[in-house]
Amino acid sequence: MPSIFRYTISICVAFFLCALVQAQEKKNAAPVKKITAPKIDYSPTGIRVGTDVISLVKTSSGKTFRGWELNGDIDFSKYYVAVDIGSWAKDITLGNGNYHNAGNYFRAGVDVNFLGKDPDRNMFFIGFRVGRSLFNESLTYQATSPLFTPALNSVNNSRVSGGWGEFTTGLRVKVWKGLWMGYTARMKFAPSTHGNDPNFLPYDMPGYGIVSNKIWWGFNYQVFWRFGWKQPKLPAVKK
Amino acid sequence: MKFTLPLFITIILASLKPWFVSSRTIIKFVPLVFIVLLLASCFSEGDCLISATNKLHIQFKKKSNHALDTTIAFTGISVSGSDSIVVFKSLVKEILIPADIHNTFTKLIFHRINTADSSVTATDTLQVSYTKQTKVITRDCGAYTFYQNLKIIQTNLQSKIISTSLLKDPTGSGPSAYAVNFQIYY
Repeated sequence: MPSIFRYTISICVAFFLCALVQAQEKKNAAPVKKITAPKIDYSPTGIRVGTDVISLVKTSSGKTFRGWELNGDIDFSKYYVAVDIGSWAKDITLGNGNYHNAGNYFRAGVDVNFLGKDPDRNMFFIGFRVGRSLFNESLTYQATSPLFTPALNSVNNSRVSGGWGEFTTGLRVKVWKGLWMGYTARMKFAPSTHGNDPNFLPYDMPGYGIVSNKIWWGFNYQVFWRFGWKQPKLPAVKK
Repeated sequence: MKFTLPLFITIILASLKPWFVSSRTIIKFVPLVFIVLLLASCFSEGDCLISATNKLHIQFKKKSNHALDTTIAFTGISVSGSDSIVVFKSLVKEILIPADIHNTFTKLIFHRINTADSSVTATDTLQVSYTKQTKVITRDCGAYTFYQNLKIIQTNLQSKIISTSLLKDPTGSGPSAYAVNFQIYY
């Protein structure tokens, strides 16, 4: 009987000690802070202006292409509004004639940077553009038929307008101070033209390429200079 | 592969940055490089398949039953715009006759003989008009004229237009490779 009483006292003391320790832990626990996500700053921090090196090299190295392209973008956090303007003229020797075109174009769209945490704001981006072009073209070619003397046909389209869409991807790498380099690969699609002579289907649309190809590819290698006016906010680095 | 060099330069420049060539980043960009190289093969204009032709495909059918072929003995067919006369050595049930490439109309004069009595001859005319549309097929193939909107201007024959475009199957050969433009009923 005395042993039962002793055990009961021991158990009661043990419960009391446990309750005491738990109360002390609750008292010492730090208050839980509500963590809120940092507010995204969409205000632009700079503008990047550049040019397509491939167009310049092709213009200076050959006689069949003359063109240039200026590229610019401005950041809104990880989103970049991009605008390209350019011009190209081509002299193409065909299997049975000669083709010439000349015109101007622009593209506008948005890129999304997937390297948002990069301290230099280097970019791997995917984007979308809408392109418009205004151009003229002319063609001279020889048509033959066994019964007839060869016919030298001349046709032309003046002030043809056209449009297309494109998906873009590429890289922009900060090389030195404000100097950036990178490339843009373009998948162009859904070309349309208006205002051409119905007797001559447009062949090559500046900014797009071969119109009869409903999907066409483009590539730019670009050099930029970035004019920054604000230091971009970057996420804190975890230690 | 005209952009392999710029791509290479970008990778070299990028590799100057130690952070950039972390294994994780490389793994991220390897698929992109493959995609870009794959796209390089898509810059070609395609094969030289020419469906344009200036040949009119004419079939001859029986007046009594338009579903049945009939054979005609032509001594010759003259084509406007050409001094030549197309001569056929045997009876024909269909012909391919070139349209005038210098004009938007062609007049065909058929000189035929009676198969039962060769002393009996006849002359028929068929004058047709069309529009011409120029299209550059590819740089190597060149530009071609597509003849469309075929119409009969004048004829003394009983005839019917089947197809208003002059087209041929670039992979086929013989008259069957050409779209049938007219049926003439004798």
